[in-house]
Amino acid sequence: MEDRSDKVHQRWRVVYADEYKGEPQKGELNKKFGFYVERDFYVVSAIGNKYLDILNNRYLAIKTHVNSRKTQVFYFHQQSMTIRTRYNNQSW
Amino acid sequence: MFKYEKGQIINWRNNLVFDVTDSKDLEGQPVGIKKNTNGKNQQWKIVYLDETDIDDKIATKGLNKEFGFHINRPFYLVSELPFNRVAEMHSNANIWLRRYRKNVKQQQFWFDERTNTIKNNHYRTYCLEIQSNGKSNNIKAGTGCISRWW
Repeated sequence: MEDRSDKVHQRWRVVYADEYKGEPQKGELNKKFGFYVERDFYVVSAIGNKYLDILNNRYLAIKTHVNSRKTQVFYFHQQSMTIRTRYNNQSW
Repeated sequence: MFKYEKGQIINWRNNLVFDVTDSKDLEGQPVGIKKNTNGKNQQWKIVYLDETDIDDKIATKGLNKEFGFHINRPFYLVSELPFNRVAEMHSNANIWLRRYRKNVKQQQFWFDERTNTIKNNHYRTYCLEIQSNGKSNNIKAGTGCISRWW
């Protein structure tokens, strides 16, 4: 318990059990995060329509699209609420 | 953790957003997170693979409205100077003005939709580029063929 600060870590939503639908399943939209669960996507920059890519297994950069390059394919992982790469399933 | 909202990828905790460093449209340009400025370098589209087929999307004909060229359709670059000479690619990759000669493919160019570059119809792997990474005033043909705005 702490003093009330009205910050997000003190806010709660009451969801009644008979109305609770559970977490979004594969293919469903996670509204809070704005991504569909485990549905592959590209991230395309407004700068030159280049694609987000992973360099050296680690760094993010924009590159020209190459079909079937898994370093350019991402998905939203519901359990960890993170975006992962199809290349090695690591999260951002 | 990141969320996607209004074209931006936002860190849940500190509201920093994905940002193309220095707004440079370069191959391999790093991407980091920065304070939200609503810049174009912070705008992203999420494109689901099952809704797009990139191979199909690469058109083989028709007008590319963004660049103003018809795809794969050979054309001449005709100077408006009195002789109306045309641009021709020399074997040394320089571009120069020459008198028009019928069906000479060195004088023909075409727009490649895949790379968004203008290529020569004779040396088909060569595209027009500004020499010295855009720092020169000279146009030359090269095989790098990655479109970018300098």
